[in-house]
Amino acid sequence: MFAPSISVPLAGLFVAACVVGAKGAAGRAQDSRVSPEVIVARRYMTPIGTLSEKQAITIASGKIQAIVPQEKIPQEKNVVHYGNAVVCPGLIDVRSLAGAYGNVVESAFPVDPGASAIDSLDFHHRDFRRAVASGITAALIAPTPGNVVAGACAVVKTGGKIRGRAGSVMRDDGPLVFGFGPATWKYDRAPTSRIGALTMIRSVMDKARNGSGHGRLRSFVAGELDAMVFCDAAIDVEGAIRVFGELLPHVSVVYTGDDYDVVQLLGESQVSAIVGPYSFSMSQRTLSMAAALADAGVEVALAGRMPIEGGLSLRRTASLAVRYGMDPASARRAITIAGAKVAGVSDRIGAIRAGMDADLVVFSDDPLRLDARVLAVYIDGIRIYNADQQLTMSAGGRDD
Amino acid sequence: MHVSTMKTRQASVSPTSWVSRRGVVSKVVCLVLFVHMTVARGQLLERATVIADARIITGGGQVIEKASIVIKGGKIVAVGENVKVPFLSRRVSAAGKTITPGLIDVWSALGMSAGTGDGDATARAEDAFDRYARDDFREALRQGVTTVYVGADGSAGINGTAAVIQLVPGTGRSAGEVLRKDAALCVNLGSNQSPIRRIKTFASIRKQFQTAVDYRKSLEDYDEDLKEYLDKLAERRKKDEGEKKTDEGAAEDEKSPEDESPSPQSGDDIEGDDSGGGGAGGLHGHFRAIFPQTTGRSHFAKSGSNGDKPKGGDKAKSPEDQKDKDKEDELKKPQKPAYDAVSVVLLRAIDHELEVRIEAHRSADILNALALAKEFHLDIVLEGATEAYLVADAIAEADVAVVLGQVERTGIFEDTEFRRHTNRNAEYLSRAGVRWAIGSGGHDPRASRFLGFNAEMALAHLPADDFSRFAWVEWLTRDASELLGMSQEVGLVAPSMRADLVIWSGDPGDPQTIVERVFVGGTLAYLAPGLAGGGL
Repeated sequence: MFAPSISVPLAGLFVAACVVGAKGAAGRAQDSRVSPEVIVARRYMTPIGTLSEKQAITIASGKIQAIVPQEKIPQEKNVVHYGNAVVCPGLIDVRSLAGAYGNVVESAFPVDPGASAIDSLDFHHRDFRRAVASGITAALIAPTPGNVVAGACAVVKTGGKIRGRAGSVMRDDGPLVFGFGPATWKYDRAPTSRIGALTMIRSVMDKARNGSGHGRLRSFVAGELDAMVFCDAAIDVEGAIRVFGELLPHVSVVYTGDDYDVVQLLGESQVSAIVGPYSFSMSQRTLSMAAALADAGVEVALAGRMPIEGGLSLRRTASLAVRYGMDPASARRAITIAGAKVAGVSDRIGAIRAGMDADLVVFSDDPLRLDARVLAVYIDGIRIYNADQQLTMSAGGRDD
Repeated sequence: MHVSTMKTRQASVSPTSWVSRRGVVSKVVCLVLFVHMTVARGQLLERATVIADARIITGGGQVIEKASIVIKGGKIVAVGENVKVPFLSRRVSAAGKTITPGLIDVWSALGMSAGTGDGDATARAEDAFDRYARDDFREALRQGVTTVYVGADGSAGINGTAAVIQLVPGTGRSAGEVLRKDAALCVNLGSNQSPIRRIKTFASIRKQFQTAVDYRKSLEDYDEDLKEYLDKLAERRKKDEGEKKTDEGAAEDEKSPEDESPSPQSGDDIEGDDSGGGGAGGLHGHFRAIFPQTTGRSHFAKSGSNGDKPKGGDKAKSPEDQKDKDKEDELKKPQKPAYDAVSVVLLRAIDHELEVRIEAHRSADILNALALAKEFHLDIVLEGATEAYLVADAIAEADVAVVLGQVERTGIFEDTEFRRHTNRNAEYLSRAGVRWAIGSGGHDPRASRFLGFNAEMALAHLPADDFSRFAWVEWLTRDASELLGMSQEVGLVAPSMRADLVIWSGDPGDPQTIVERVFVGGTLAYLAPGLAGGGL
C-alpha cells in the first residue's frame, strides 16, 4: 500500500529533474550559439586598420549590415554588449596547415597544377577548434612548395554551424603555388637546379598562353587566378620578378629571408608579400623585415603557420612586427584584409564593412597586445566561441 | 721664496735636508689638489638624479601617477608624488612616460649561445656565459630586461650550478656582470628521453645524491676514527712512558693495547666500508694490514675477534724483539676518504645552502622530482613543468614553486615532452595554490629579450578577474626577485633598492611602446636610438 505512494512522488521528482536538466543544457547550448542583430563594444577595427570608438555593428542573415553610432541602435533589436572590448574582423592565417597533415604535395610530378590542398584536409581536426579559440576564422592552406607548380590552395572558414568541424570552403581553387628554390629540386626527376626550375616555369607558362596545359595555368596567365610564390632568398625573388613579369600584380611572394635588397625590388613590382611567422628566437634583422616592406609600400600579409606554431602565433607575429617598427594599422590589416586579398576572398572577409560576412572576433583589448583575450568569435553571424564557457579543459589534452 | 731658499741653502749644510723640504712642499700641494679633486668628484658622484612626473608601476602592485624617483649612489632614495628633492640634484622630466623596475628573467639562456655540454655538479654556468655578447645584451635591455638567471643547461642529469647576471652598461670591457655565482643547482630529468632512458637518468641522479650522503658519513667516520686513533696513541705513549719508568721487560703488558684495539673496531658501523673509498676487493687485505681501522669496519670484522686473527698471525711471524715496530703497525693513522668534488656540491644542496632547480616536463618526472626532494630534503623549484597542471595538487602539497617557460608551443609534434602543453598551465597552478614564476624558457638565448611578451601571453590565458592589468610586471620584477632570493636588492621601485629602472614611452603592454632608457645601478645602460640626453 505504502510503497507506490512513496515511489510516485520520487518518480515525479526524477522526471522533473530530468526536464530541468535538459532545459538547462539546451539553454546553454543556445547561449553559446547566439546570433545577435547588433554587437556593441567600445572600439572596432576599421577597414584601414585603425580603431574607431563608439560604433555598433548590425548584422542580418550572417552578413554585416551597417556600422552605426551607438546612440542610433534600434531599440527592438537583439543587442549583445561587450563593454570595453575591441571588435575585429576574424583573423586570417595565410600559411596555415590546420587540418592538413602529412606532405601536402605529390612530388612525383614537378608541374602539378591539378593538385588541390582541399584534398588533404581533415575537416574534423581539432586544429580548427584551436584556431577559432585564437580568433582565427579563416585559413589559407597551401600545398607544400615542393614542386615547381605545386597546386591550388584551399581557403576555408575554421568554424561554422557544426561544432568541432571546419566551416564552409570559401575556395577550393585558391592561389596557384609556385616554387623554384632548393625544395623543388629532386635528384630523381627534373628540375635538379634553379635554372631548370625557372626554365620549366617559363615553358609551362608559354604553353598555357598558347592555349594548352592545365586550366589553372591558363587562368593564371590570363590574369584570372592569383599565384603564391615561395621565396627563401633574394635570388628567388629576383627570379619571380623575371619570370612573372606583367602578371606580378596577381602574385604574392612568401618571403622568409632577411635580405634587405628585396625590399626595393618588391616595392617596385606591385606584388604583395607574405611574411612570418615571427618567433622569439629570430634576429632583429628578420623581425624588422615586415616594417621595412610596409614602409616601401608593399602590401604585407602576416602568417601564423598554425598549427606548426601555436594559435597565438599570428598575433605574436603582428606584435613583434610592431615592436620592430611596423605601423599598428598596417599590422592589423596584415592579419585580416591583407590575408583576404592574398587568398582572393577580400570581397567577403577581412574587414568590418557593410555586405561582408559577419566573421568577427571580440578581443578584450587591441589584438596587437599580447595580453588581450579572445572573448567571443562569430562566424557568419553565429557566435561559435565564448570565453566564459571555456572554463574546463579535458584532462591531459591540449584542447584549449 | 727666493730669499728663503737662499737662507735655507745657507743655513743647511747638508743638501739632503733641502731636498726633503722641497718634497714636503710639493706633497702639501699635491695633497691640497687631491683633496680638492676628490671633493669635487665626490660631489659629482653624490649628486642625486630626480626622474620626475612619471607614471610608476612599482612592481609591488601599485601604480603611482605623476610621481618622482630620486636616485643617489646607484640606489633609489625616494619614490612618490611629493618627494623631497635634494640640493643640487639633476632633474629629468619623464612626463607621459611609464617607469617599471628592470625586468628579471628567472629562467634564461642569454649569453649562453656557445652552449653548455655534459657537465656534472661541479660545472658552472658562469664559465659558459659570454659576457662580451654585447649585441644580445643590448637587445635584452631594449626590451627592458636587466637581470637574468642563467642555468647550467645540459643534457639529462645533474648539470652544474647557475648564475645570476646583471646587464651592466658598456664599460668598454664587457656588458655582463655576474651577481651571484651559485644561484642554484641545475638538474634535468630529461623528459625528452625514452621511458627507459628517463628511468636511468633518475636512477643516476638519485645515486649521486646517495653517494654524497655516504661521502659525508665516511668523513664523519673518519673524524671519529681519527679521534679514536689519536686518543689511543696518546694512551699508548703514556703507557710506554710508564713502562720506561718501571723499566720492566713487559711482554705481557705490551699485549694489552693489542687486545683492546679490536673491540671498538669490531663493527658498529658497516656503511663505513662502502664510503671509505677503500678501493677494490683485491686490495682489501693489503689495506687491512696497513690500516687496521679500515680493516675493523669490514664485514669480516663484524664477528669481533675474527678480524684480529690475521694480524695475530702476522705478528707471530714477526720477530719478538721488534716490539716498537709492531706497535706502529697496529696503530696506523686512519685514511681520509678521497675528496669528492661532486658530493661536496650536492651536500650544499642537501644542507639547504643551494636551491635545486629541476627541469621536468612529464607528470611522472615531476612526481619523481618531488620524491627526490623528499628523500634528500632538498629545496627544489620545478622548471618547465609542462604537465604540472595534471599533478598540481601534489606540487601544492609539497609546497614547491614552479618556473614556467614558453607559453606558446607548436601543436604538431605529438610525442615530445610538450605533447600535453597547454597555455593554461598557469591558471591551473594558480587554482591549486601552487606558487609559480615565469621566465623565457632557459634554452633559447634570444628568447630572453621577449620575456615581457611571454608573460603577457600567460596573462591573456588567466582569468581577468583574478589578475590586474599589470600583473605580468609584478611577476617579472617583485616575484622574480623573491624567487631568486634578491628581493632586498632588486625588483621594486622603492627606497633602498638598486636603481634598475626602465623608462617606457607609454604602456609597457602596448607593442608600439618602446623602451627609451634603462638604468642599471643608477647608470644609464641603454638609450633608444635618436633620443637626446644620454648622460642624464
